[in-house]
Amino acid sequence: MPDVKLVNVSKRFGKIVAVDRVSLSVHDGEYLTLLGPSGCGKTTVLRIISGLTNPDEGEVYVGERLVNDVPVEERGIGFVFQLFAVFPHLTVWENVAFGPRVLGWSTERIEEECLRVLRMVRLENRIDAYPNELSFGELQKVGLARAIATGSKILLLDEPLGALDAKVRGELRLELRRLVKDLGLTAIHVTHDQEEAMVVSDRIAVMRKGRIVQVDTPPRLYSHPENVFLVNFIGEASFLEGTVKNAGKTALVVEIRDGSIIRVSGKSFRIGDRVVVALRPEYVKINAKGNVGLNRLHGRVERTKFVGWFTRVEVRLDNGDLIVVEEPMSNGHDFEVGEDLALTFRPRDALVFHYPEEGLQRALSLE
Amino acid sequence: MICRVVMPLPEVKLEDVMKKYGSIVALDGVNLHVADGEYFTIVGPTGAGKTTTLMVIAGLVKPDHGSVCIDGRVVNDVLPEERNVGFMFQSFDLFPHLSVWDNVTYGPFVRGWNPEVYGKSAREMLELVHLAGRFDAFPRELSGGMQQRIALVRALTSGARILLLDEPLGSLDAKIRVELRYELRSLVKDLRLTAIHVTHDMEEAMIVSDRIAILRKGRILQVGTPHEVYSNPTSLFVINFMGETNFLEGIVKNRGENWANIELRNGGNVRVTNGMMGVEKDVVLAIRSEDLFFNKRRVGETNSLSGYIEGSKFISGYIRYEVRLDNGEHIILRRLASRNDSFKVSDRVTVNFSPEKVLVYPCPEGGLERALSPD
Repeated sequence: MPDVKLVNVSKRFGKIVAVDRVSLSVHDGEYLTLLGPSGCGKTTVLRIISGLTNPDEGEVYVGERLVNDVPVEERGIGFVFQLFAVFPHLTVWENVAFGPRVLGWSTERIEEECLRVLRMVRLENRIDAYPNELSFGELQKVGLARAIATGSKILLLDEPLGALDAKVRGELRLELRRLVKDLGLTAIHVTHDQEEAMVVSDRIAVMRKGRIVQVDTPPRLYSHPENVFLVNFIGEASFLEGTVKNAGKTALVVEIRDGSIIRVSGKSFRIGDRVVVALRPEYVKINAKGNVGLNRLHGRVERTKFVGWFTRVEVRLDNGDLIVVEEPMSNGHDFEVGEDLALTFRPRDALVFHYPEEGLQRALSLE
Repeated sequence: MICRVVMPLPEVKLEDVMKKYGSIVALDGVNLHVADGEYFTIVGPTGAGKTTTLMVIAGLVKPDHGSVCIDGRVVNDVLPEERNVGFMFQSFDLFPHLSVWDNVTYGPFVRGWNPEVYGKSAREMLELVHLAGRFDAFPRELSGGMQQRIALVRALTSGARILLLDEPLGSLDAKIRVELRYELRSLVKDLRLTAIHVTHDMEEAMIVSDRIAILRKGRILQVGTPHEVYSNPTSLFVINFMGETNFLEGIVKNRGENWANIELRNGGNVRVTNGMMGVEKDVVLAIRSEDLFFNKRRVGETNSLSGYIEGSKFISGYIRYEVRLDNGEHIILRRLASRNDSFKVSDRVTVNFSPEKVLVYPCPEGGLERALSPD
């Protein structure tokens, strides 16, 4: 059963269309992320769900109920801008009891509910501590406990980990998902960070220019992006432009810029179609020995960068295209700028798209 | 005889720099030597003293003790504007009444340079940061991320030979941040500038830098090239700060000249070939999540520990597995996602790793948690 449902929701600010006919179903207990570049409308969607912003068109449902005209505080939704924005001068208990007090609950009900919530996040032994005495993990729990203390089962999170160090953020996002799942909440999380989205989500809705372009699980989104924008936005990719020379049921022969031929897997293409072939850096192998696939491209190392567990090698192909390869460190070879090498990849590891009408550059643009 | 003018080297040197704010020690004896043309990064957690270090170099904060040298001369008493450094701080202040174009060409304009030359490079840089189309916009019309990119271009075109960059990519969208770090390094190198860059992001540091200094609690723990720091982290803090690492506590059981056997506290044996220590010494073993491998069948070989998969998570092309070992330890293993990966949650697995990949540290006195904590 969907817990939150948007049907054809639009919102304009003056001439700017911030949200453009968005439809979305978030299931009970699901962790869904709205992911997109700055200005794509993701925060506006979140505000529309919360009731802080009214849509110009479309319907918003929470559970079975149409809530377009229901005020913020009656939607049963916890809204978190930043998980760590707790009141520094209040104890854990006072922070969590803040919302219920504002709602004018009886002392007994506040006691009961706050204790219940604090037990759920396992902070019942820290109720008298002040925020500056807590670890990041504990602060995150206070932020969550506070958001759900008034009985919300739906949690809206707007860049909740934005203000943190990379290292801490990496640890807390795993913990955040675990907590949301343990507490049985439905979460809708907004971020611009692909890795964060992949770690926390059951499904990701990618937004661009006010519209949802794909909703899928993290692995599906990575392996089956529906257009070139997505392949570039979710992970990294290099692009080869070409024309279909031969098309079988699932196999294509593509001629790229200098007349070289590559073989890729792809359906619903016809001879003569202009295509873009996208290669993920981890699927391209350098100087692989033996029969490692039908595709072999020659080029020269243009730039290399040691990044720890892999080396990133940028290779300028003979036809002028640039291919990025991630070579695992355990392979032990140091690449020199200017070195000649051969790149190989398997047909099924390439992603093929129709050449975008607006041109490749515009199709990839993050603006 | 021709008298050659020796140009001063744009290098930066800090010697034993101390700075206190009240009772808080922000910098506790910092020594640094950044060479001409070097891309140098200071990385560390919040509150480590990174920004204070930059402010001391810029002349915006006076050290309590120690000396700051730029181009071979002590500049402790030299005003910020006379130090010939360009900086970009987190509160990047663009000139609000000037357009994007006037902002990024302000430095060379004031210096009276040839507009044809600086105009061309400014245009190229605006293209690189995806803002060429907004050259006539005013700062207030741009988002925070766009303003940051403009501030970065302005710092690069300012004409200063030494650049101080405080989280220059901090408020950008993740995708643009990842893309720009490669470009930022290339620009600094092409322009032959010396850069000192501050970040809390180790991956960013690895990508942009010639050398990295890891700062913690006002002290530099280690300085080295990305390769040196990665292959030989000198402390538990540094290896943990670099990425997801597994720590196993144990005791040295027996050893030869270049090997030792470690008995794990929770059971199991590990052979190591690094960081030799005496028999009966308490040690902590550190193994990176990417240096562990799965094996479904073979058990009983050197450095194989068995357990079951407790969780898995797909993250941009790789899979992060959580494994519960039979000895109770919790291990993180990361591998490239291949399309026929057959490892599932609750599968029994054997985790293998090679002895050379195990880093050995003496057991820290205050305990492991304290050794890894940022403060």
